Amino acid sequence: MKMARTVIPFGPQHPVLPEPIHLKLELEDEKVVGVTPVIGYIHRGIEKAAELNSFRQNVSLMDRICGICSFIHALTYCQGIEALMGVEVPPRARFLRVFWSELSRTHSHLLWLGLFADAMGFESLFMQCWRAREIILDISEMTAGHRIIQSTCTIGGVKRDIDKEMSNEVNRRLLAFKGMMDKTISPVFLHDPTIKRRIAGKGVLPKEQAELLGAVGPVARGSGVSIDIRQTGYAAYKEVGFEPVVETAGDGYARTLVRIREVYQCLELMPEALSMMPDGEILVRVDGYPEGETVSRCEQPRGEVIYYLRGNGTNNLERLKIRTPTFANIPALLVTLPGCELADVPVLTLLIDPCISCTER
Amino acid sequence: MENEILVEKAELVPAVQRMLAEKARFGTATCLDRGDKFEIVYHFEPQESPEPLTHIRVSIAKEDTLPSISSIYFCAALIESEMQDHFDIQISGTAFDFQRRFIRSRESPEAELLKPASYELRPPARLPVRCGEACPAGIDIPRYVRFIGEGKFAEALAVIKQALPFPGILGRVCFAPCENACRQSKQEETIAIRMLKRFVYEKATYEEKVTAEATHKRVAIIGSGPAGLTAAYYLAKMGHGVTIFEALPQAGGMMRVGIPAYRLPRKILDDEIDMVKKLGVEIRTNTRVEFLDKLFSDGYQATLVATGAHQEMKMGIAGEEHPKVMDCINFLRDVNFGQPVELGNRVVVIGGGNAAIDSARTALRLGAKEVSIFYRRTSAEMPAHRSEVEEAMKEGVKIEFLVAPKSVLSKSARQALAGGSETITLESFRMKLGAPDPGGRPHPEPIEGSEFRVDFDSVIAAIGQHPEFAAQFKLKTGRENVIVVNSRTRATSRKGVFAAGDVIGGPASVVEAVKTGKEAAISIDKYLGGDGIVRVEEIKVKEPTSRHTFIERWGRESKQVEMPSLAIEDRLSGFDEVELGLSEEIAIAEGQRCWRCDLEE
Repeated sequence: MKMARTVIPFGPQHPVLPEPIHLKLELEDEKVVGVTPVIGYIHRGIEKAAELNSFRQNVSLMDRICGICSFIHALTYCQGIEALMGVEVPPRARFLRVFWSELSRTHSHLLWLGLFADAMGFESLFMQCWRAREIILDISEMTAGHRIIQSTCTIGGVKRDIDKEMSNEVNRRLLAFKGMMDKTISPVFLHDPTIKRRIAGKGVLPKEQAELLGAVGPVARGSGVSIDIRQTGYAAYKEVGFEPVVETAGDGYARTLVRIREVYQCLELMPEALSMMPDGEILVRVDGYPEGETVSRCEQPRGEVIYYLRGNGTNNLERLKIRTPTFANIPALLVTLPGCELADVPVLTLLIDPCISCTER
Repeated sequence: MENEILVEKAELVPAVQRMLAEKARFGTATCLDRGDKFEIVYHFEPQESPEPLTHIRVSIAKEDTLPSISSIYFCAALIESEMQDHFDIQISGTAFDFQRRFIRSRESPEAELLKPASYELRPPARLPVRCGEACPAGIDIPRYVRFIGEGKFAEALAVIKQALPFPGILGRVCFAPCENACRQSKQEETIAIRMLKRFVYEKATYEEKVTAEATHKRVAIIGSGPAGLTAAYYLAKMGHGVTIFEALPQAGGMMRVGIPAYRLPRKILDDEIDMVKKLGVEIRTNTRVEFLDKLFSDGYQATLVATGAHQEMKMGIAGEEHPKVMDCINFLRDVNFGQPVELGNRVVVIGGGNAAIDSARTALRLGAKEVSIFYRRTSAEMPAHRSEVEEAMKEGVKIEFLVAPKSVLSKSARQALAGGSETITLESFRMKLGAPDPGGRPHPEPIEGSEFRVDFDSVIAAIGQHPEFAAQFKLKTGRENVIVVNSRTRATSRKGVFAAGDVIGGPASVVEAVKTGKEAAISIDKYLGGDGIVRVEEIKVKEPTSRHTFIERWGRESKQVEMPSLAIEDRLSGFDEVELGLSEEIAIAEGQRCWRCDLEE
């Protein structure tokens, strides 16, 4: 007998979703058999706004596409403009860009770990994650002047420098942060039997499907696909040295593990970048207007971000197109949901680390 | 743009198919509104090199229809859908239909795409456990207990040997901090971890082999106690030439002079020392090292000072220098080396540590009729191991709490008149507990006017030891003569000189000495240019992954096995070992009793 299907709306307002996305879940009994995503609740028209602003003003706009990966958005944009205008960024600025990129990544992963714990109803772990994240936000405030939107990247370099004294203080605080990771966060996420039951073997995305569906970031790396744009060595990743974190199981546990290991990787990359940083200028003067087309890519905490830029020799860009990582991971989400229980949907949705404001621009 | 392929609308699908055949990854597509036409650029990442991207550009008239590439790259469906929304562009043949999901595709029918993937559960990382964390040597305790429960004795011994060189000695004398930590004590009784270690040492054999190549570096170790022997064992395994210098006639340090034979049979000690010797370690007994410079000029590249804590503290009371007032270290050393010791019938031991209990039990075995222990605090503060105290009381040792000596009164003149043997009178205070001292234990205070006198034939002081070592070593020392070392590397203030065991921390236990000895060995190896990695034998056995495997244990309460021990009357006639060891069935049953806290639920 064919079972009757029920359609349950998940979102756009839902306790586990800080941002609105709507999934129409088709259920047979408690089992999800189909998903239809509806997006567009917070479309802000940023691509169009970028065509109306001057290309220099756009840096501040890009900073505000997303709260949690704001620095990397600005970085991708600046790298694109610099490629169009043939600007050589000073080496010190390239290392500083690595530092702030990794700081954003740490802060983003911690945010996600907290939200994820909250989605599972693990309130105390949620508080612990965000408590640890506070150290990272303090470092951000100390080095950039802002807790969330660092706004330090600009065309031709960076706006702020980090001196020796400050970098020592950063290292000291990172050590305190690592202590919290070691003591509470990482053992609980990786060993707690309750958490394991909620994520181990759930939301499996095999390697072939991850490739086929164009998954990026920790979602792809958790399925054994070794995509990480940092491997191309943009900014100073070539000098700092970088190996992507890859897990092969493809389930929720693997994705969590990738993110936790990436936090530890960030904790190595940040002091590395600060210590290898050469002396010198942090910003070069950029004259003229961008002309031509280019594609710029960076690795965000959620995966690869692609910017397409087209300039026509005026103060305004002719076209700016942004492909964010969550956008690329939505097909992967739609494949992992069918077959799961309704109660697993919030956890599985969070496992792709959805950043809807990025996605909708 | 660089790497750009300009195609007509009809060539688009074949061009994208070529990208798929080359295993390129689809990035995204950009739609450009060029006034009279749309330009669509597809961005691909070629497989061989991530940079630069390959772009496919197609131009179509505004009213024209664009063929969808989503049957080739599924993920393109989303961006195509967005282009339709933003630009009103017409796209035909979308494989990805949001209403009915993946309905068409070239290769993957719907059923296959929606099928949950086959998933093999990884062997879960084992959980940290209390017993293992409590063990100073870091033995993987739950694993060997489980192996014993499964009857795999050789593997169990190999697990212990991964962390520790002397399972025989520690199976007998370890104070088993692991058992205090065992979670099972909350509901039933702890696992007899130490007894299992002793059992498996007697049951199974382990073949020692040196796999490292000889480094032709030489290390001198001063002192052949547990720390020195442990360091020698690991350094020899790392390929260094090791010589141990021992001032006494036999090797073993405090294990030989301080621990009575009824707790540690000399055969076990000799076997373990022979095992270290077989690795190529030379032990020179009756050799006291006076100067470290001499060792370096003799060609030793590094030195480990592991001389232990052999100096008994003074009680600081009047009459202490009386010949019948002895200290426990000298007393135990004389007994253990077979020297005659005259105690008399009534013996009192001052102190509450393990040395005091050992002295008291040894005195009983030497024929003393009445043995008392005076301790200035109560039983709750006693540092001696509880089971040792219980055994001593079973054997007839009387323990008086809250008593401290005030002075020793010699009454030789009066005794000489009476014609009896020489007796000494110990004048003592009764004590009361006061405010906690810096160590956290309540400080005992004498009660005024509570003095009382008791006659004894001899008094043994066992109030604590501190290291005694040649000042010529020229090492920085701290309180009570301990050598100051780096807490991680165990390096002293002198280059190439390391220290381990009681000499760096004051009197502790054998297992603590083993721990610091191992740490020192690792640092010495690094100092000599090695990698400092202790290579252990891997144990390849299929292991359970879940606690559910042992479901038969659930809900039943069980008691710890009782170690069979020698009858009281048989004990006091000599120094025979008191504990008799477990039988195989009992040991297996005890191993199966473990809750396996290290496994997942």
